[in-house]
Amino acid sequence: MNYLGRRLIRTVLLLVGVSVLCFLFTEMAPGSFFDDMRVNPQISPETIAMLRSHYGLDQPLIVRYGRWVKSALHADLGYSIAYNVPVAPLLWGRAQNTLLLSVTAMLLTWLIAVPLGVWTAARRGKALDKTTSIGVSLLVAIPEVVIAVALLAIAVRWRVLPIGGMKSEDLDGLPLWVRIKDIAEHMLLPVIVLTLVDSALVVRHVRAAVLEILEAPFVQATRGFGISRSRVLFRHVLPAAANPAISLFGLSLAGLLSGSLLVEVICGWPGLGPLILDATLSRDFYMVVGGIMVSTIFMLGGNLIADIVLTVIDPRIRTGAPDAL
Amino acid sequence: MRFKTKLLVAALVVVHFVLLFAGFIAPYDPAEQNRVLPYAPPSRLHFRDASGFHLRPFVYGLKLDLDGFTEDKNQVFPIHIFVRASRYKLLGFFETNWHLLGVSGSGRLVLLGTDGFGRDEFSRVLHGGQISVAAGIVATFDALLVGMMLGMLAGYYGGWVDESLMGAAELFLSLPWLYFLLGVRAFLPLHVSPARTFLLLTCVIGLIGWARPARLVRGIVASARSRNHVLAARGFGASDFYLLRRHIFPEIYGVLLTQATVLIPRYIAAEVALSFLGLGVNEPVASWGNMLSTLQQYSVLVSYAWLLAPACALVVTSVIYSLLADCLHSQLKFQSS
Amino acid sequence: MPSSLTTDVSSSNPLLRVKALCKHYVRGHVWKKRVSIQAINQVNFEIAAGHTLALVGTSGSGKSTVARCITRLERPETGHIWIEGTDIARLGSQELSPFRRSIQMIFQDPITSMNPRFSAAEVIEEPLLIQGRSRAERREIAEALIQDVALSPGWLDRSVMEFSGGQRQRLAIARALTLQPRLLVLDEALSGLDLSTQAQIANLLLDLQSKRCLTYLLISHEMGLVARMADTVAVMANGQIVESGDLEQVLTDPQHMETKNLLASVKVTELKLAAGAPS
Repeated sequence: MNYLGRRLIRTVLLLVGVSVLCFLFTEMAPGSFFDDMRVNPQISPETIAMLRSHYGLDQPLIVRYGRWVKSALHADLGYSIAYNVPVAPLLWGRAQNTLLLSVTAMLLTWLIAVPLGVWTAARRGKALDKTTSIGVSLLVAIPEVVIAVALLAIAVRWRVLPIGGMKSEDLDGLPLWVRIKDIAEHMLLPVIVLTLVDSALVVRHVRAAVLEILEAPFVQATRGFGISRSRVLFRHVLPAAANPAISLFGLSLAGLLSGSLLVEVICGWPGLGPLILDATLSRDFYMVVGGIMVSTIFMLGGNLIADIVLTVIDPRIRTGAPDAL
Repeated sequence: MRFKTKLLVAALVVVHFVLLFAGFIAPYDPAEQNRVLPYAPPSRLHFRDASGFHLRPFVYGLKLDLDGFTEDKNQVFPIHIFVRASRYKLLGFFETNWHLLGVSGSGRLVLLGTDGFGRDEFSRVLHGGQISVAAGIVATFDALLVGMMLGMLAGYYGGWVDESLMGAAELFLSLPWLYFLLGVRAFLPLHVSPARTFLLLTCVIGLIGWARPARLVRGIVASARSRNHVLAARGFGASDFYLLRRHIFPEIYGVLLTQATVLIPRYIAAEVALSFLGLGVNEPVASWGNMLSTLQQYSVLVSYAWLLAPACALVVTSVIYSLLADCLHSQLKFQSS
Repeated sequence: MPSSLTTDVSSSNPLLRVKALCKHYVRGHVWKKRVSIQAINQVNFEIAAGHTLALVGTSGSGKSTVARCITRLERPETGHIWIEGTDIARLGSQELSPFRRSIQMIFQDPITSMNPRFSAAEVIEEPLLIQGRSRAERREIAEALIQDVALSPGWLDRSVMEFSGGQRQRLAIARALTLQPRLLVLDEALSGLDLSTQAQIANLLLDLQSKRCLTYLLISHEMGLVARMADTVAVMANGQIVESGDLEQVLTDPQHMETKNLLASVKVTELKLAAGAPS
């Protein structure tokens, strides 16, 4: 079984594992959506019981899980108790927004951070490297919440950018580029926060990876042959650094997805984050589970893509050579 | 490098010391409301008044009028050291009412201003810090304990134990942690006492966070296990427990220490994030997270800058931990090469 | 100088007797295809008390596996290992305990065979510690042994890192002797050392052998050393013993291809010189 095949199976197993974990946790939970209702004297216990069976919450765990899996395979993730609509379409709509945010942030991060990482590694110890190191250390140390709130404060104070939401009102009928520009403006703040946080990590990793390669014997050897520095960099170092950089891709995506939740809530971006938060606060069971599954799918999907790219680029993994992964 | 490490550790000790003695250092009880002084700016300390220079600083009384708070120069409140004020429990069990600083009479010494309920921000930052930092430390301890045990098992016994534990670790590492944390939190009762929330929070974070330390520990244990000095000891009839204790455990505490310095600030941030979203420690108990959540109202955010104090405190703590983690990491790398 | 005891290989009461020893290793994960590698297959030999048997062969021939099976660091699937009459091949760890004292191993690499965080005393005393002896007793034995290996007792509290490779091998020998073993397995124990140190340690070993009536299983690929120390020789290739016999016999009249290859790299006259050199 080749490497990719195994990775795929692993991914599927992981997804199953996550869904099982979710269900297990709900079983252990002492509360449910209807707790508030129970306290309300105007709603009779019979009504509550009926609602429970309506949503299938009175069935044993295995049954519930089985039914959920069956319907999940049909892309139906159950019913939201709070919104009274099917979970999947609602999730999907919001997920697209989150994806838009995450992917943009990721692209920006990689556009900025990878060259920066390589550059500071190449010019180690010089002014650029030192200032970048300090900046990166600070960014890594400061929690995301604080960065988001701080930037928000600045944006609100000086009214630089629109706050909250994804689009302004009354834009129908205006040309496409105006609408895109509008979305971009709304997106700028959260994207900046996410990019800042993620780039710090990526710069660090890339710099470390490139440094390690620069010190490798085969690179020293090429320097000895008199090959110019930039040629060494581009032809020998970068391809070797691609491996750890791409492996980082998966890690990046994970952090981005988790981080985007907070940022979306703070900046008011209508993505998965605020949705799941509300679902959590109102104990909307299927919504929460659906949300976790979707975000897990994104993460595992991202990892899988990274693996595919790696396999294409790095022949050592394909052949299963001993010093590969 | 060694000096830098020592400096950072000293800074950390100072921060933790201050937080530990929050009750003493804070002038007021964090829950004490004063509806007369909502959103008061930080007290300005003066040394000079009409009668000249005083060694003992003082504050003026505050008058609320249409433009906000102004100082009433007729009311002078000198600051005293070692005053008696509200009761509290020092270090959790020693009841006393001594405080480090205070003013007498109707004066208020609000070094970092007050919040919407007139509660002293400085006191709240100190007490809130106790909660947030303690949450981070306890959660780290949980995660490291579980991670260490499972990592040792996986690394030492290998085979299917190793495969299944590392598979589980990969599972936990694949989860978008905040989503998962929310999910778990969703299934716990929303309105629990702050003490129970604290416990639940730290357990849950620890539950999710064991995977990375476990992998690191497992790697070290797996390579240490097959080293010749371990084999030799086995040849003398050593038990598994002896080998783990005498030969293998000393190899992992470098990693555990570095992981601790990496995880503590991360888990403090997690608690802050959760409380910020309303899912962590709730009012009236202060934590940096729930203090920052009032800033979600833009008007508050813009007008009352002193309410960002918990964010600053959080940043300072995180930065010190983070720098220490870097130092330890390079020290460890240097040692093992 | 080989000992002057009887060179009859099949003496009636050998200290160690190995018969039909087999061991294979399995590589692979739970879900990958498992590959079985036969490390040693049907190995037979004996060592008489006070003698030295040299097990020679190229790397990968299975010599180390034999060493590990005999010291029970690995468990052989089939075969017998008789120590003074008892078959220890498949004993459980509880029953094995008393026999652990009889056989000890000296590893090839003096750096990794001791915990770098230990002091010399801790290294030597470790077997005694594991066996539960008192602190005073351990110290006493350590002081005696460190002198037996020609090191100063004043160095007992120094960190192991401060010793050179040759000195660490001496510590390893001292450590191995604490439990008063009958058989010492020397798994390429002198291979990592420079020639003069090798000679010194070889002399020490020969000395200890006659003083304490020790039996050695010498595993090596260096024929010069073998000529110096062994009474009998067994040649291994691909996990089996292909030739065995007295030292003199194997050196002068090798039968198997493998033996000839091994000897080809060394001049036989030099070997005979080494064999005849005074200890």
